[in-house]
Amino acid sequence: MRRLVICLVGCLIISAAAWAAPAAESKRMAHAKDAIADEHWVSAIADLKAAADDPKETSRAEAMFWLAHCQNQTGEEVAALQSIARLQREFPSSPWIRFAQSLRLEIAQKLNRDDVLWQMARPARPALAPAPPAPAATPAPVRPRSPRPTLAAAPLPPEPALAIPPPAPVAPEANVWIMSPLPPDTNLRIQALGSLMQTHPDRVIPLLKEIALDPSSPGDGRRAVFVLAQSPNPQAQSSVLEVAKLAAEPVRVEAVKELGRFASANVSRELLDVYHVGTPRVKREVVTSLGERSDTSALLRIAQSERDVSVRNTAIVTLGRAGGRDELRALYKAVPADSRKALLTALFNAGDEDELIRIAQSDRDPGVRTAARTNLRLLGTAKALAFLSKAR
Amino acid sequence: MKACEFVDAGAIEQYFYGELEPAAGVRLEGHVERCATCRQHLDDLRSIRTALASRVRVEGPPSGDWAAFTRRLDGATATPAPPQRSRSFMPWLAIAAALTIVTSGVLRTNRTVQEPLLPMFERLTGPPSAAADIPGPAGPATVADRSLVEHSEEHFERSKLVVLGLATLDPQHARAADWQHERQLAGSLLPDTRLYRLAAEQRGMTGLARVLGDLETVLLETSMSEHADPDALQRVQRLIARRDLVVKMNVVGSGI
Repeated sequence: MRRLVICLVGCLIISAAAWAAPAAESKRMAHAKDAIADEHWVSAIADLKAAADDPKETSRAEAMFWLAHCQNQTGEEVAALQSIARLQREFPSSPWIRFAQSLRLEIAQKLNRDDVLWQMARPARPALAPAPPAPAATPAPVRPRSPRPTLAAAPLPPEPALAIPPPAPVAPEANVWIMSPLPPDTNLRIQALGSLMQTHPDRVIPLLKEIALDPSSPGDGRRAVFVLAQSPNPQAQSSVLEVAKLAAEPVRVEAVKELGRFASANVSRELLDVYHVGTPRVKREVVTSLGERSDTSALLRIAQSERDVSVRNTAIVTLGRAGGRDELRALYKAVPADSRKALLTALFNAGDEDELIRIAQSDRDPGVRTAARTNLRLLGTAKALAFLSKAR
Repeated sequence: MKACEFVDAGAIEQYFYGELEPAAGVRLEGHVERCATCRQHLDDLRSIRTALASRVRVEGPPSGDWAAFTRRLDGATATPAPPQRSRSFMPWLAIAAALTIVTSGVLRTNRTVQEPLLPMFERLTGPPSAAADIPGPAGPATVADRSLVEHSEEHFERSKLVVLGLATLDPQHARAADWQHERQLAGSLLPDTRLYRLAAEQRGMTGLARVLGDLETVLLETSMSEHADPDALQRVQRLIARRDLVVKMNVVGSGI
């Protein structure tokens, strides 16, 4: 009897553990994912369709997402949109919905459905930005590979500027473009705005700038700066400058990097404008950008006037990397004691053996003379080695 | 090892990449001195960075004939037969890692012999147009192209922490908790990956877009997998291997 009770308790424990553990992925799903890895889309679609239709499948939402993904890969945009709509309808709170929304935006972009993109791009709260436009009267040219899906309803009417209407009640299959009523997702907004940048820059740029200047999410701000900087539009570029001056520090740093890559002749002046209102971290990024542009005169000005020792030393070392030998020689007499080591490093970076030899011979500070000799030894040029052997 | 809220919140990664505010950085440094979990985590990140930063210097053949190297590379990067479930992934990983180091060393140290390398690059990254995607140092197509390539290179560097972390886990012994960290990191890398892929597609940089797309699939599969079991890990590892992701990221990241 006692054995029987122990056996029963054991069985109960094992059953409970099996019940509590997450069910293993089905062989069908595993096979489908291997097919995705091999880009065997047709084979994957067959497995995923079966998984999505099987009520016993534990990963149906996931199956529907990957089904839409594979259908999009094979150019079946209509089927992909239907799979997304089904996912949204049957699993409205699934974490896969967000990725499905992103996929839907990609398809909308392929099909030039700016109205759908604007649905996602408009701000989630009242904003000063202008309202999104109504769909263009004349349809934009459709790329050859992308037939407009027959299931898609007519473009949505323009929305009032500051209102976010609730999703219209529609029959399940009536409109594959209706977005799920999820909390606002700035990543999706940025994706949609990026897609609209070429066609509606005047309306997109202020919205991206607003995201970039929002201090609550530096990650989103960084991505918004990236999209702005990808545009050749002068308004976008001046927005990057503004962000570099006003945004949260990590976003400013990103904006400075982008500014440094611009081809405009005014970039150095703009970088210096940012420098004058920057934190030490922003200033160091400005210095790096000026170094990448080999603007030795701007670097010299910073090295001469900057009070923050870390920024000043960064400018000095960067000056060496930029090959500013003359500027470094001019600095030598004026540089404060706490920047002497940086100056020697910069001369080493610039390969200026003559100046290092001169310092090793004539500087009043024995520590500086020793450091100069060390740098000459590391430099290892014939002239440096000859000097060192003579000086022994 | 015990969990720590700083690790869970990603503060160690932010600190490692210099993204913490200075005051927060100082506070974290104080904490790291007392917390073995965080210290270990930080050491791991440093070790990986050091491993990734090291490049083996590989001299090119004196004749400039790369045919033999290309044949070996083709052989090694050819899609392997589906591995048996019980077989370890480590031998494949060792080959991939060795190839990664050799390839990247070759590409870095032999910029002057790019012509013989070009066909290899095309095989790795797709159609012939793919090679033209990556502007050379001498002449970027546009400023925005250059910016996108630089962003992608930096992003690949960050993503290697996840991809190599996943590839080196032993599926037979790894528990779900062991790759939880990679799953979290993968989720945090997804938005940038998608953004850069879409930008590359918009610019017609198909080769770069393709590698970013492969990375996105790996990150999505990793971060969203509902079954963090050995089978799921093996599947992600197969995905990484079949798409040659490590090699492709290195080739694109080497900036040719």
